Order: sequence, then structure tokens, then C-alpha cells
Amino acid sequence: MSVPTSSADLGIYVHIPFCERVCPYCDFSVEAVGQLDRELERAYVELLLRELELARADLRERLEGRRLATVYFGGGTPSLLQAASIERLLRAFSEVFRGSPEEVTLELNPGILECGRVPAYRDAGVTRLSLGLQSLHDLTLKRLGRAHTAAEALRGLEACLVAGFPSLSVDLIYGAPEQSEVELLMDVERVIELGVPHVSAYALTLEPGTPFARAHAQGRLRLPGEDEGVRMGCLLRARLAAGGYVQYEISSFSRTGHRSLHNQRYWCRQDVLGLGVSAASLLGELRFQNLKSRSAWRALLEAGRRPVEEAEVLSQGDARRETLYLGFRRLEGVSRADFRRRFGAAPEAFFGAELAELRSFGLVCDHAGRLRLTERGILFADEVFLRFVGR
Amino acid sequence: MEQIRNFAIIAHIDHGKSTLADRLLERTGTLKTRERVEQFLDKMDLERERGITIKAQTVRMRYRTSKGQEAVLNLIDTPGHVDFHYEVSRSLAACEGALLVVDAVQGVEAQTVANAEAAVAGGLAIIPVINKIDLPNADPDRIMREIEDIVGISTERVVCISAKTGEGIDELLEAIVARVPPPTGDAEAPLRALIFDSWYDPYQGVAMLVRIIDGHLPADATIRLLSTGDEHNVALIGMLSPELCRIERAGCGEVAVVMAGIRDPLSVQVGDTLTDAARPASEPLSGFQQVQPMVWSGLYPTDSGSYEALRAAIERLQLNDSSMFAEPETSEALGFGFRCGYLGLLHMEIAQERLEREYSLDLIITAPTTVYRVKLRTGAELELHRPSDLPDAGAIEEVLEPRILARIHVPTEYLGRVMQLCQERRGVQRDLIVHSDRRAVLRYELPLAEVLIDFYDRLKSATRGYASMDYEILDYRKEDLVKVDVLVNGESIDALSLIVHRESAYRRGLALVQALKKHIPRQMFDVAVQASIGSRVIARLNVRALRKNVTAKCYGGDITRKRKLLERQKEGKKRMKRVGQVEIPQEAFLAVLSVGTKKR
Ligand SMILES: Nc1nc2c(ncn2[C@@H]2O[C@H](COP(=O)(O)OP(=O)(O)OP(=O)(O)O)[C@@H](O)[C@H]2O)c(=O)[nH]1
Ligand code: SF4
Ligand SMILES: [Mg+2]
Repeated sequence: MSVPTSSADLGIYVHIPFCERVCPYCDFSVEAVGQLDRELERAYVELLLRELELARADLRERLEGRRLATVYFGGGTPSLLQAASIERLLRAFSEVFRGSPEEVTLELNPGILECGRVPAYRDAGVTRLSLGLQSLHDLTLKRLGRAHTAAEALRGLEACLVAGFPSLSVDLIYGAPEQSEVELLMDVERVIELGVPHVSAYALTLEPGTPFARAHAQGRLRLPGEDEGVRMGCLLRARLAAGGYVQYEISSFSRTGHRSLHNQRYWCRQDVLGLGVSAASLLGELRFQNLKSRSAWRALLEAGRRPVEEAEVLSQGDARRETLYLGFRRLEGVSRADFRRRFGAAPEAFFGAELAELRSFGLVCDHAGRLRLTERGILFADEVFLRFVGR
Repeated sequence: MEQIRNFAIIAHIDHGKSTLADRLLERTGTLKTRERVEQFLDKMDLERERGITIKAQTVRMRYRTSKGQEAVLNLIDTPGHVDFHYEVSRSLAACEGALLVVDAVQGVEAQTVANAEAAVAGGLAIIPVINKIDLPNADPDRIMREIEDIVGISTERVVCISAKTGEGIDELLEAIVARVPPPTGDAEAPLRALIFDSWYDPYQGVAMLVRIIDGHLPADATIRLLSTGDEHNVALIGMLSPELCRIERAGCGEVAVVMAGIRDPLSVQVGDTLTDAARPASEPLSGFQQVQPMVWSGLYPTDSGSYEALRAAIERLQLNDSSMFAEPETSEALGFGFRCGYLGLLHMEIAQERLEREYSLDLIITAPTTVYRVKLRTGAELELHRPSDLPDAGAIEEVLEPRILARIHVPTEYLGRVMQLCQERRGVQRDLIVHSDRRAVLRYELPLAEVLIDFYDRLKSATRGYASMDYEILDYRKEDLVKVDVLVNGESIDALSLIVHRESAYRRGLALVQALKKHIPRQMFDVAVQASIGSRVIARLNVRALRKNVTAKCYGGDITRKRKLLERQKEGKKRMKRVGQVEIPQEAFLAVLSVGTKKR
């Protein structure tokens, strides 16, 4: 339940920009590599270590003496990396930062090879797996263009459960092409039954520029209707709630003690150092993001420079807005006391009109000293966030 | 004065006036061949893009006849389109002669007749000119017959030319000197100069184009405007040949540009008389007949901060376009703007486009409407320029709408279709004259409102472009007219109200509601879009509420990107107009406003 509040500690995010193949709805920075070439893997890890060194030298006063709280290997498909590479990176982190992280998450796709690596990841220091299950139905997986079958997904899940990690999460998708409500419910049922303690459930979104978005625009892709999509979301929330999961963020559901510490850092605006292609960082009032092309990222590193694409220094006003619009993602909402401590006055002092309007629309409310989304607000969260972006 | 020949080139649209002006400019050496661009006098981008003349243009040329006679020629190229007829009539007031140009293939068309009538009424010498004789299917003999039969002027001394090849131009120049009489003013009398055009020069302020009727104007004069008594020191007098050249005096009978450091565009009126303050004339010249704008629409800046800029732009534009009217108005939905009156739809379109281009404004334009006369139960009478002003039905005795007498020139093979179109538009046939097996002139009485809605487009497509039309206002007639209001979640949007014939109310109301529905983005709640007559709803559609609006995931790498996406959404919302709680994008207004003017 506890969320780290000390600004002295740090999370590290490591981006692995490789996938076996690229799913047609994905708009992350990834490349399809089939199996990750040993040489490519080694070279990428080398570059990550070099980036760490450069960041450390460049941002000495911001990073020096920090305690490392969480590490997150995301992607892409980090499970394309061997456990040895993960271990090497973790070792390097512990040489630079104090303490040993409470949570080390690794995203993994349920392929045969990856499943074999699961025990080794645990030995390397990973404490939490996040499995890209998406669905337990072959047709849906196929329509989504995923690389695995339902049987592989289940085998992968079992391998993860058997390996005995302190925590485990699975991704479920809903609103997939031609996916039915019954099918979704069966997936959820299975996940609950197997005792997976954390679920990330996403509605499929059409990201501009992806093959799915194009196919949809041309009428070649049939997605469940809007009403059906909303119904699926409700069914899923209800079933997970009944199964003992608490929805602690718009897409995140957890049994007691299994919330993602690392992800909560983003919503609470705690520092994260991002390494790798396209990785994003927040250090105090400094937000920056790495180059999104691997070759550009590499070129800068090889030239001895940090591969940052864009950086901004957040003003107090930016920080206040972020505190609300990121904070609202967590269903607990934003603590009034914390806000006042940080900014010297209540949220209403800065956003009186916005909050009044949101209340009148029934999108936000007060509860136990916190400002938070209402049930309706969860469905219209972007309407809420909109009030807190821009000038 | 004996040397001066002031003449206008008049014709139906596209019969080659501006091209003829090119040839005259070249042949007199006014324009060097290397400066040559087609339709040189069509200087506005809008004119060049559309290939039509919008503004009359004046040029002074020198010419020596074959007999060695020296002449000063003042040419005015005029527009052919009916909506710019006021340009023609003002130009004619500065001239003693007119070249009536007729296309050797198209023959006499509606504006040929209308312009010829205006020139005859002004007592001008008319030289009929048949143009485009280079075309393979040119038929000058037939055209001559048409000029005699339809226009009713003699073609004994017609001049046949090709403005394209230059054939006949010399003969035409000789004819101008021989047949256009020199001006007949009193050179010794006190100065009287007629202001027949004006524009705003960013450096010099107001520029006036004048025709000296009596007396003369020295460059160091103090001028007085007779209508107001205002006096100004002349800063510059010049002639356009074709660039502005400074001159020391403008003599009797001449056309000149006068600038006097006048900064307020409202202080100069086209049609006013200029005199010399040192020796003032007392009797003003007769000026021009007031034009009656029959088409009105609202103009609003898309961002309310530009209202003052719009006001200044309209004042300057009016200086150059005295047939445009403007009065301030406010709309609940659109804020502060102007209600503007025009001579026709093309005039409206051009004026609005000039405002947007020449003054870099973004405008919302409401649907055009005609002028309605309303007789109230109390006996009072109103003239309506916007539909939302129509009082409650209970207070109204009757509503009258303007009707026009349309004169449609059409090849006989298309007669049936044109008659059908007019009939559909509540038209009543006045008469039909068949001039030959090929040409007929059809006269119809039509409600002006029916002509505002895509009538020209329909006429064009029904006759493959072979029909032409001219009209005059006939009368006002009582009709069963009703006001259709548009409501969004119960709030009426005044800018979208329409006055229509009861018979078409349902259809128009539904079309409005459909167009609006298409453009209102779904919101968090249902939005009812209704059309009503009084309190009776005649059409209703719902914009269904969004079921959700939430971005599924947002982690580290996404924070900046998602924020930017949201920021863009927010920017979009800012540009929307809010009616009650409903956000309506500007495109919705635009789309709705074009309903009915596009498709029937
Ligand atoms: N073949 C041929 N084409 C001509 C001749 N004179 C003009 N044209 C063409 O006719 C079209 C219209 O010419 P304009 O000079 O713009 O006509 P206008 O009368 O000034 O038209 P408005 O000012 O819009 O009323 C252009 O495409 C010209 O090139 C001619 O003598 N022969
Ligand atoms: S596995 Fe995940 S990161 Fe890789 S392409 Fe598919 S959706 Fe994108
Ligand atoms: Mg022209």
C-alpha cells in the first residue's frame, strides 16, 4: 500500500527496443528482430552501460548518492535478453547507486525460449514479471498479430507462477477485433483462478500511424462497438473487484501488496532515470526523453554524448498541473495535505474554476482528504486531464 | 479638352473587355511589350485567380491618329458580372463614350443589354464592337442581327476585332477618336470634380479617383468636399498610365487621382463633389443613385479579439467598394460582428474573401438572407436584415419578401429546363421572346430568396453554361413566410435562424439539423439539435453522448507525448464556440451556413 515518497530515492527504467515481430497496433519504439542476435544484445547492453556512465557524469549532483528503489525492464520485449545481460545491468546499477531495489520488474512475452529463461531471471535479481498475455484465445491473439498462441500463453503463465517470483502481473487486452464479452470474461476467470496477483487491463486503442489505425480507417478492421467496449470494461472491473483485486489506477488492478512500485512513481511524479532508446526521465523539475531511433541514440553515445532528444524544465505551475493530472490517474487521487505541503495552498487556490466545473459535471469528488475521480470520472478521465494541460 | 476622349469598355462577363484593354495599352505604347501579362488591368489576385474583373480600372493613354491628330484617351475597363454593376454605372458617369463589346460566338447576353441600356440612359456615344472574330465559329453577321434586335442599336458602324490577335484594334482606336465626343465642361467655372472611385493607400491615406467636370485642379489647391464641407490640402495629384504619375494640374474633362492626407476612410464618399476651397462651387454634381443591397449576411471574427481589426478593414474596403454596406450587430452565439449588405452572392463572396486576404482576417460568415418587410399588428413596419430579428408570429400582420424580374438569355433548346427550374422556385413567367431559332429571352418574376439558394449553379448546369441572367428588383409581395430557429440543447443559436417559405420549412430545418449533427463532436452528455417554428419542433436529431473518453495507459515514456496530445485537444476546444454547455466547432457553423446554398 505504501508509496515511496522520499525524493532521495530513484527508479530506473531500461528500454529494450526489440520484439520478435511488431504487433500491428503497437506504437512503441521497437524493431522486429526475430531472435535477438547475441552480438546485437551485447552491443546494446554495452551502450546502456555507457549511457549510465554519461548520465552519472553529467547529472552528478542529481544522481549522486541516490538510493535505488525500483528497476523496470520494459520494451519492446526485454525477455529477448538473456538473464546474464539483466544481471550485468543490475550489477552496474548497484555499483552506482546505494541499496538494493525493492522491486525489479521485467516484461516478458510468452514464447518458448523466454519461458525457459524464467528461473534464471529470478536468480539474476528480477522480483516481478509482467507477462504480455493479452488474451487466452487463439483467434484473438491471431487477429491482434501477436507472436504467441493461447497454449503458449498458458504455458508461459504457468512457468512464471511455478518459478515463485514475489510478484507477477499479466496484461489483458479488451476491445480487440471481434473479441466477445464472454471470451474476455473467460480470460479474466482463468487469470483469477490461477492466482495472478496483478492485472493490467487495457482497452485496445488505435494509435495514429499504426497498421491497425489504417485498416480501421479503410474499414478493414472490425472492432467491438463503443457500447460493447464500455460494457467489457465494466464487466472486467466488476469481476476483478469480486476476485479481490483493487483498481488502484485506471488500468491497474492488484491484490494486496502487489501494486507496481515502479509505475506508481510516474503517477506520483517521483524521479526515474530512463536508459535506452526513447526512454524518458524525470529528475526533480527536469523532464527529458531519449532519441527514438536506435541508430541516432547509438551515434550520440558513440560520440560520447547523452542521447537526449528533448528536455524541459518544469515550472512550479507545470508541476502543479502534472501533480493533478498524473495524480488523478490513481484512483486514490491526490492528497490535499501533500499538495498543500508541496505548493503552499489548496488545489482550489490554483484551479478553482477547473475543479468547480469538473465537480459540476460529476467527474471529480472529495474523499477522505483526497481529490479523486468519480466512477463517471474514470470513464471520462481525459476530460479531467484536459483541464490541467497547456497554459 | 478637345483632345480628351473618356470611354468605358462594357460587355457581358468574359466577352473580352480586359483583353481588349491589353491591346489598347500596347498599341498606344502605354505598356511596353515586355511588361505584358494577360488582362493587365485585373490586378487583384482574386481577379487573376477567377479570371474575372471585379474592380473597374482607369488608364490614361496617348494616341496619334492616322491623320496625325493627337488624342488623350482615358479608358475604364469595367467588370461584366451583374453583381458589380455599380462599378459600371459609376464609371459611365466619368465618360462620354462606351465600347459595347459582344462576343462573336456567344452573342448578346443579359449584361450586354443591361450595360447598353445604362450607357444609353447616360447619353453616351456607343461604339458596338464584335470581339473574338478569330474564333472558328465566330458569326459576326448573326451577332449584328442580335445587337439590332435585342439591344436595339444600329450596327451600321460596328467594329469587328480580335482582342487576342490584335486584328481591328487600329480601326477601333481611330473610331474612338472620331466617334467619342470630347468632354463638355466649363473650364472657366469654379472646380467641380466627381469622386467616382476611391481606395486606401497605406502611405498616403485615402486616394480619390475624380473626373473634373468644370474648372481645373492645381496641385497646390486646398480641396473641399461639398457634402461635409471638410477641407484638406492636396498632397498629390496624378494620373494612372498605368502607374501613378504625378501631375501639376488636372484640367477640365480629365480623370485624375487626388490624395490629400486623409486618414479616416469614412470621411470620403464616392459620388461626392470636390471643389477648390479658394474658389468654391456651390452646386454639387448629381452624384450616384444609392444602391440597395438585397443580400445580407453576418460577418464575425473567428477570434473575438479581432473585432476592431475587422471594423477597420471593413471601413477601408468600403472605400473601395461603395456598394457594400455594414452595420454592427451582436449574436449570442458568435459575439460581436457586422451585418453586411451586398448586391448579390458573388459580391458577398468577393467582399468576404478580400477582407480575409487583404486584411489577414479569419471570418465566420452567416447564411445570406434577403431583406424582408414586416408589417406589425400595431401598424408599424420593419425592414429585416437578419432572420433572428423576426418578431413573434402573434405580433405580425404580414411578411413581405422581395421579388425580382429576371431576364434570362438562353438558347432555345434549353428553354424547357430553365422554365422548370424557375417554376420550382416559385417563379411566375412574365414573357418569352424568341429572337431566332437559337436565342430566346425569358422573363420571370421570382422571389429573390429563391435565387440566393444555388440558383445560378442550377441554371448553369441545366443549360451547360449557355444561359445568362440579369435581374432587377421588382416589388415586395406578401408570402407565407416563417422563421426556422435552430436550438442546441434548448438554446437557440440566433446566427442560424432562417426565414423560409412555409412549404420548404420542414426540408430546410431538417437539412440544418443534419448538417449540425454531423459537425458537433460527441460530448459527455446527449446533445439535442432541433429546428423549430416558434415553439413547434419540426426536426430533431440527437448527438449521442460519448460513452467514455480515457487514455488507457500512461507511463514514463508517454507522459510528454500524452500531454501534447491532450494539449492539442484542448487547443481545438478553445476554438469552439460554447452554447450553454455544448461546445460547437467553427466548422459546424460553416457547414450549416452552407446548407441550402449548395444543395436543394
Ligand atoms: N479567341 C479569343 N479569345 C479571347 C479574345 N478576347 C478575349 N478572349 C478570351 O476570353 C476570356 C475572357 O477575357 P477577359 O478579357 O477576361 O473578359 P472580360 O470581358 O474582361 O471579363 P470580365 O471582366 O470578367 O467581365 C479570356 O480567356 C480571354 O483570353 C479574342 O479576341 N479571341
Ligand atoms: S510485443 Fe509489445 S512492444 Fe512488442 S510489438 Fe507487440 S505490443 Fe509492441
Ligand atoms: Mg475583365
